[in-house]
Amino acid sequence: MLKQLSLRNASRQAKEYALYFITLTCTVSFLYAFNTLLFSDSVKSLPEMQVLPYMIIAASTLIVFITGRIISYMAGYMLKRRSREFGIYMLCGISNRDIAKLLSRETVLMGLSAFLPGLALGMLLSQLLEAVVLPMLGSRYRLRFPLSLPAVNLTLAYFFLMLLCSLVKNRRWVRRVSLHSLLLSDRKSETVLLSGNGPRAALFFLFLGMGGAGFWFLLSLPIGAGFDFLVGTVLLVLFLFGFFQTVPAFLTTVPANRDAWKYRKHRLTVLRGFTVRIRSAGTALGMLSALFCLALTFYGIGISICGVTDKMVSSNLWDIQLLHPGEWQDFSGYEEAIARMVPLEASYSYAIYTDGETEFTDLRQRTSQEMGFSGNPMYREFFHDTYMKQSDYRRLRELLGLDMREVPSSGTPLCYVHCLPSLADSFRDSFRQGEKSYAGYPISGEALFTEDFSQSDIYGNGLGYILVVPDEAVASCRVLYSQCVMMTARPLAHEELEEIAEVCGLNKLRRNTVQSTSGDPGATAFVAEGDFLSGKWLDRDFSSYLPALSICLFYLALVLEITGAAILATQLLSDRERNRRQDRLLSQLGMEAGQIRRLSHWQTGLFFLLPLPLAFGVSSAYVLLCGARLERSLFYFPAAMGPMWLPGLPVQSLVLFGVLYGIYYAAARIGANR
Amino acid sequence: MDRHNSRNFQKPPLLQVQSIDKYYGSPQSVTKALDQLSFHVQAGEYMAVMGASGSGKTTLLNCISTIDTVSSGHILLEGRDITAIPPRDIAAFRRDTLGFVFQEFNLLDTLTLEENIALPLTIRELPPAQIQAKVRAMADRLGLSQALGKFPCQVSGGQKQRCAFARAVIGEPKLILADEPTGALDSASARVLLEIMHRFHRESHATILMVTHDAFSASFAERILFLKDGRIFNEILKGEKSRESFYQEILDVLCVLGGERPC
Repeated sequence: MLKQLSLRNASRQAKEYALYFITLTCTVSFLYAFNTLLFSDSVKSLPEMQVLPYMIIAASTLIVFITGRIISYMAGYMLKRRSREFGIYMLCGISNRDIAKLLSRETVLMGLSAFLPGLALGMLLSQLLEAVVLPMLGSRYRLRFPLSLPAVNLTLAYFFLMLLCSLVKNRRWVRRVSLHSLLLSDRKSETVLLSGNGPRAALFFLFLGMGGAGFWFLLSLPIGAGFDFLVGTVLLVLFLFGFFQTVPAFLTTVPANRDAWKYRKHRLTVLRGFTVRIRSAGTALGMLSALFCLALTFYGIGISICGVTDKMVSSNLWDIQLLHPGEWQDFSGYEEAIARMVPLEASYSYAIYTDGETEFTDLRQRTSQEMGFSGNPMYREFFHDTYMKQSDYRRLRELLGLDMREVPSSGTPLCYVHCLPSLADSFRDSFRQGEKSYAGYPISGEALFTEDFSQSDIYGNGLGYILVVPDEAVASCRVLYSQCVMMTARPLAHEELEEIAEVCGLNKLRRNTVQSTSGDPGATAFVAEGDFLSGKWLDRDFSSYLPALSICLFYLALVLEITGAAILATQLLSDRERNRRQDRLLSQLGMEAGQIRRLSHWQTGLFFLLPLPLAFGVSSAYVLLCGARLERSLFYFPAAMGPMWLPGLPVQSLVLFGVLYGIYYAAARIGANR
Repeated sequence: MDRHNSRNFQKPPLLQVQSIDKYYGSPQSVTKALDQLSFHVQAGEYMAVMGASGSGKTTLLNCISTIDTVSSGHILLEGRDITAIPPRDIAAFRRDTLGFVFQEFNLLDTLTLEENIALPLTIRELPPAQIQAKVRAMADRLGLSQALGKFPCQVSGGQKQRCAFARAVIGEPKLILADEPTGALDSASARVLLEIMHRFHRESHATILMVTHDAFSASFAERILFLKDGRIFNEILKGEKSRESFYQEILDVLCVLGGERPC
């Protein structure tokens, strides 16, 4: 009989607690999708991705813990709702032990029924994930839907661990609860209204002050050495939790005492419903706000990592770049060999020159430092000014599809500057201060080019800038390095780059691997004898640990978000009966049905949005801080990412967050209206 | 009934219930809750409706209050047929015309007593200063001034019901409908509430229609209708009688109604 009852209860609850199922299903799908990456042959074949499985396991462990808590919370909420039902079972002579068994069966049944759709969704999600991840890591994606048995087993293990957490806690509650408290559970509700307001309202301003100070510490970093981060974080955490503990007291002592405000525009019921809700759930809201803050921060950092990785790859314009240090090199042999391996669209060989001068290098360095960047390259090749022949420059612009703006001259050939946009003003100012020339050729202040030209990273067309000089002007210069740049018909995969390096006997140029010698200043990335292979796709290969990190951040953010949203939605549903009573009464008192609906929307919306603004504000501080740090650590020059990139990060993370959050809000509203 | 109608010939009645029927259930199993019921209530009258469970008291109240609809017949309030009010106008009708007192108080537990009383006035969008003045005056009148800042969970059942009564009358409705207003109160609180209702009726000439199964509560009314199986079984008037003798008369009717004595 108990088995039949479990089955019936489980199926009935499936209808009533759709949110619980959505959460279980989403969790299973996320766990499965990310677990497939652990066992994916495509990912295993990438040597740079060895760290990914460890990251995913660490993230999954954290997720099992967090999701275990939320499932336990939701199951607990369901139990409390069913207190009267359990009380009737007990009245009918079913023992606590048997009710606990009934509960276990129900939990397992509901878990299993959420596991299967979760797995199906997870298969779809895993393919989406591979479709996004593999191209990021330089590997090709092929659509297929295999069921990864090891991933299923691991997901099942995680899932049962989570269910077990919830089961143990709730079974304990059922076994200890008395008949009296089960039958009278709905009568103990309003004690939270009784606490005093005075000191709390004053504390509200104290916590607001802490929040302001926290933002200030994080954004202006007045102390340094990481102490700002620590102090700012402590203040912001106190602010998040303190705010929700004290804001109801503030609302009930300030706006709720102003009749002129609260009696207008039907604010009364919304205001009071709102303050009671947050007063009874202050700690939970603080926790939710912290969860959302983490989720938004992880989204933001994940987006910023993807952004800088893309920029690092795209700032190098060439698909393949061959380099030879110190002298002119004939690359035609390599060109022929490479053309046999990958489809080449164009190629061109040229050299970068130097003459030991530092006038423009100093200008670059000063400008970068003024804008908070290091501007100080460790590579010795860029300690001096760099030049390029005009004929090479014109050919390269043709290859890149850039028009050449002719500058009127009085017959004497001119020199031009091509630099990063962030350095352009400094060069213009410098030219305004006095006419400049190189080897007798005047430098045109009007012809300053700032298109993308492989200048934000080393061993491109100069570091940050290059002086384009008449061909004959380089006669007295030495070759810094010669290079052959190639454009391919399609992006290159990791395997193809491996093949090119192996067949042509080329060293891969790792920009962060340098060598220094005792006699020379600085260091060089030309760490071996012979020629070097570089290019955007190889750069992407080397920086693939960054996408791996961002994947884990997105994974964590998703689970934190659904965890928080599920808690919030559950809280909202727990108010369903009270809200219905209120709507009924307002209707009897003569409020228009449309107005009641609007008030209900307001009340739900306010409660659902309540933890968001603070979470968004605090997370924005972290995202801006991390984004700026990331940009400064990976690029030598300011504004490499564009002026709108940094402020856009919190907005993008909010949009990403809003998609899933919106689904939960809609589900909560539908549940509340049912 | 005829006796009463002949008595009120000068003014048209405030409420006219004309031959109403109310059926419940499916075509296979029909329950007739109200059966050709007709009566009038004059403005300023305090009337009670009594009857056993299932006699149709609450159904009648629900039909008058537009919470439920009649199956046939008409209910006229100040000459306006409320059974023909379009759904979009019903809220405005309730807001402007009716006041409700329920057995279970139906206070919003998130609002203080003051705010609960003010609620109908905020729905009418009266200026806040006017709302405040009216609420304070009403609270003084009903002995609630000291409890205005408290939440319903912090006050006694009697205070809750007085608050509910204040909320029902603060908008000066034409008709106050009370559904077993003392049903959830102890005898002392019930007496206080009934005396307040009676005094309010006397001083403000409020029209009250109260449904109750309690003879003591009904003895505060001026006229009592007894329902049985959805029909009017009897009607008695207080007239010049003392409340005690009226109470005895009610008990007598109830005995007959319950089958103890021949009618």
